[in-house]
Amino acid sequence: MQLPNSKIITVGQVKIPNEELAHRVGSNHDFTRTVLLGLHAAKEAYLQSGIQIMERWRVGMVSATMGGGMDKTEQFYPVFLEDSARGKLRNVVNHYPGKCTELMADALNIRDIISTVNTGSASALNAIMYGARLIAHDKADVIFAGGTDALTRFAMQGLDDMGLCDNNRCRPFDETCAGLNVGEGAAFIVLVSDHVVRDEGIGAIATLSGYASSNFIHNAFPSTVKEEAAFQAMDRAIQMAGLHVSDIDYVNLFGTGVPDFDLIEAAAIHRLFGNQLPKLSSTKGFTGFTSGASGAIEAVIALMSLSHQCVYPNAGFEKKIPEVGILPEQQFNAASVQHTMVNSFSFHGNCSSIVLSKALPQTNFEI
Amino acid sequence: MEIVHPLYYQKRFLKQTLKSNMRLFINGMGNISPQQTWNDESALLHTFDYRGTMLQAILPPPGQWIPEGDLTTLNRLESMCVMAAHMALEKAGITSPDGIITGTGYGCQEVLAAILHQQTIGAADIDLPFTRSQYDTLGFQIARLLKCNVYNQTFSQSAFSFEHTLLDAMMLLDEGAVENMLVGGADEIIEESHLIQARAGMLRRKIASTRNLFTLPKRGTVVGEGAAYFVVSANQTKTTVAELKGLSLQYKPGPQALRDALEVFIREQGFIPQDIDLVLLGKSGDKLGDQFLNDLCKSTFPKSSIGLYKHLCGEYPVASAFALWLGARILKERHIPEAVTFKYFSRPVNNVLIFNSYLNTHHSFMLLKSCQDIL
Repeated sequence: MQLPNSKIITVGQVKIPNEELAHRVGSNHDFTRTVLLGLHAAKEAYLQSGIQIMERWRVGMVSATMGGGMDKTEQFYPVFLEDSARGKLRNVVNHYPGKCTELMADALNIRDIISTVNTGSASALNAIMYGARLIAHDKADVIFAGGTDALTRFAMQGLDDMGLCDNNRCRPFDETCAGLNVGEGAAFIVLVSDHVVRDEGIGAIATLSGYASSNFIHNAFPSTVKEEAAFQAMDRAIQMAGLHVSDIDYVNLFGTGVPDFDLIEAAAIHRLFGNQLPKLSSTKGFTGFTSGASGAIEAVIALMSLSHQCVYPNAGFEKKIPEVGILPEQQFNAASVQHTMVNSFSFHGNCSSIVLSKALPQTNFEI
Repeated sequence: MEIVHPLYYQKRFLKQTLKSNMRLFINGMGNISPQQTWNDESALLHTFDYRGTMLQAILPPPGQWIPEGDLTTLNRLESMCVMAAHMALEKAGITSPDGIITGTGYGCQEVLAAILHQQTIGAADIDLPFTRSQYDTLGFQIARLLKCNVYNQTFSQSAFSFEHTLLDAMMLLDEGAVENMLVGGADEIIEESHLIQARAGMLRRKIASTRNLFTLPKRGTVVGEGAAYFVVSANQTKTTVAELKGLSLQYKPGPQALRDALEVFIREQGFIPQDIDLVLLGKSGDKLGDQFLNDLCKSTFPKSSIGLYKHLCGEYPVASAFALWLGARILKERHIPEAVTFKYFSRPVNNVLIFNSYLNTHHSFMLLKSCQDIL
C-alpha cells in the first residue's frame, strides 16, 4: 500500500470491497468501512449466539475503534480543503467513533447500552472487560463486545512516521523483526449472563474467567509499555480466574513485530511463567496489527483454539531473539487447551489481558 | 424447542436505572467552559452572551496548573482537561486519584485536522505525533502530569461519553478497590467542524445574541465546548458538593418511550415527580426538538422550577458534564442563577434532575441530591 508520502508499506487488508460487504450485511454502502466490517462480525456473532428472543433482555454494544469513520473522512477532506462549501457531507457525518457503534447498534436494533471504548491498541480487550462488568453489575444481560477498524492512510502514515512500520511482512519475536504491518478487520463476541444461557437454552462457547488492565505512563515514547505493566495485567487476570500460571495452556501474544515491544512482552512472559512456558504465539503475521479491533480478533482466535482444541503458529518467525527471546509455536497443531490468555498493550502504556476458559457450569460470564 | 419464560425475566421487570449500590458523592469539581466557571466568586453571576454560533471556552492562565515545560507541548484540549482535572482534585483535597476516566465525543480535533491537513498537502515532515490525535491522549496527559499509574479509561460515545465515565466509576466503586475516581467530559470545537455542522443544518443561520436562543425559537442551535472534571467517591467528606443518585441513558426512544423512561427513572429512585425541585433541561434552542421536551417537562413536573443551560455552554456531546457541574453548584449555593432560570417556583432546592438531550437522539437523566442537610 502506498502512503501519501509515496512510501510503500506492507499491510493486512480484508480482500472484500465495501460494496460486497454492504451487500452481505444488507446495509448502505455509503457507510464507513469500519461500520461495514464491524457489522459483518457482529451479525455473525449474533447468529452463532443462538439467542432467540432478544427483546426480553437488556442488550448493549461495547465497541472499540481507533479510526472511527476516518476512511471516509479522507475522501471528504481534500475536496473540503480546496473549497469548504464542497465535499460530500455523507462522507464526514459518520466520522466520530461513537457514530460507528451507533450505526452498528441501529442495524442490530440494540438500544439499551451503547458505548465506545478508546484506549489505543488495548481498546478491544477493554471493551470486552467493560461489557463483562456491565453484566456482572446487573446493568445489562447481553453485550456485543469487540472492535472494528479499517485501513486508513491517516493511521498508516501516522504509525509509519513514528517508525513503527515494517516494509516487509512482520515477523513477531523473530530476531530480524523490524516493525508492524497495519491491518484491518473486526470481531465481536456475545457476552451473556448465566440466566440468559439458562432461559434461552443456549450452549456457551467459553467462560470469560478473568481480566485485568494496568497503566504505566512514561514521558518518552517508545518506552511506554513497561514490563511491569504487562506482567501485572497478565498476573491479575490469572488471579481473578482463580487459576495458577501453570493452568494456562496457550497465550495469544500481543507481539506486533516492533522489536522493543516484543522484547518487553517476552520479558514479562518469562517473569510470569518461569521455566514452564505455555504454548505461545502472536497471530499478527496473519492479520497485521488491526488497531482498535486487535484484542477482539485475537480473543476470537483464542476462542477457536478452545473450541477446536488447537494452537496457532507464529507466522513469520524463524529464529529466536538472542537476549530474552521466546520460542513461539511454529506449526498449526492439535493441543489440549483448557485455559487461554490474550494480551493487548497500547502505545500510551495501557496493558490489558483476559483469560478465556472452556465453558463450565456455574460461571459468571458466558460467551 | 419451546422455552419457558419466567415472568421475572421479562424486560420490563429488569432494573432500568443505572445506579450504584454504594452512595456516590461529588467531592470536587473543575469546569472550563464558554462562561467564567473556573473562578468561584463570579460563577454565573455575570454571564457572557455570544454573537454567532460558535461558543469557545474561556481558558484560565495556564501557569498555575501546567508545568512550564509542558505549556507548549500540550494541545488545547489536553490543556483544558489537565487544568479542569487539577481544579477538581484541589477542591476535593486529593493529590492522586485511584482512577481517571475521560469522556469525549469529538476528541482532539485540532491536532487530528492539522495532521490530516499536513498529510493531504504532502508535507515532507509531519511534526505532530499521531498518538496525540487519539482520544485517549486526554486521560494519559492527566495521568502523566500527576505521575499517576492508575486505571485509565476513555469513552467516545457521542452524547453518552461523559455518562459512561460515571457508570464506569459507579461500578469500580461498587467493586470496592478504589476510593476516589476522577471522571470528566471534554470536547473542543474547531472552525472546520463548525463549518461542517453549519452545512449539515445543525446550527442557526445567524444569531444576534445567545441570550435569545430560547426566546426566538428557530431551527438549529449553537455549538460549544468545554472540559469538566469531578472527583467522585463513596465517602462523603467536608468537600462534598452533592450526591449523584442515579443515571439513565435513552438512545433514540420514541416520544412515549421517553415519557415512560422518565417516570420509571424517578420511581426507581424512590421518588415521585413532586420531589424534584429543579429540572435542568438540556434543550438546545432547536424548535423541533425543544417543543416536545418543554411539554414533557411541564406535564411531568408541573410544580418544579425549570432551568436551561445550552445558551451558556452551547451544544456539544459532553454538555451534560457542564450540566452536572451546574446542578451540583446550585445545590451547594442553594440558589438558581438568574441566567439559568426559565420557570421559577419558590421552594428550597434539594433535588435536581438533569435532563440532557442531544440532537433528539441521545437523552440522559441524572438525579442530584443536596448533602447539606445531612452534614
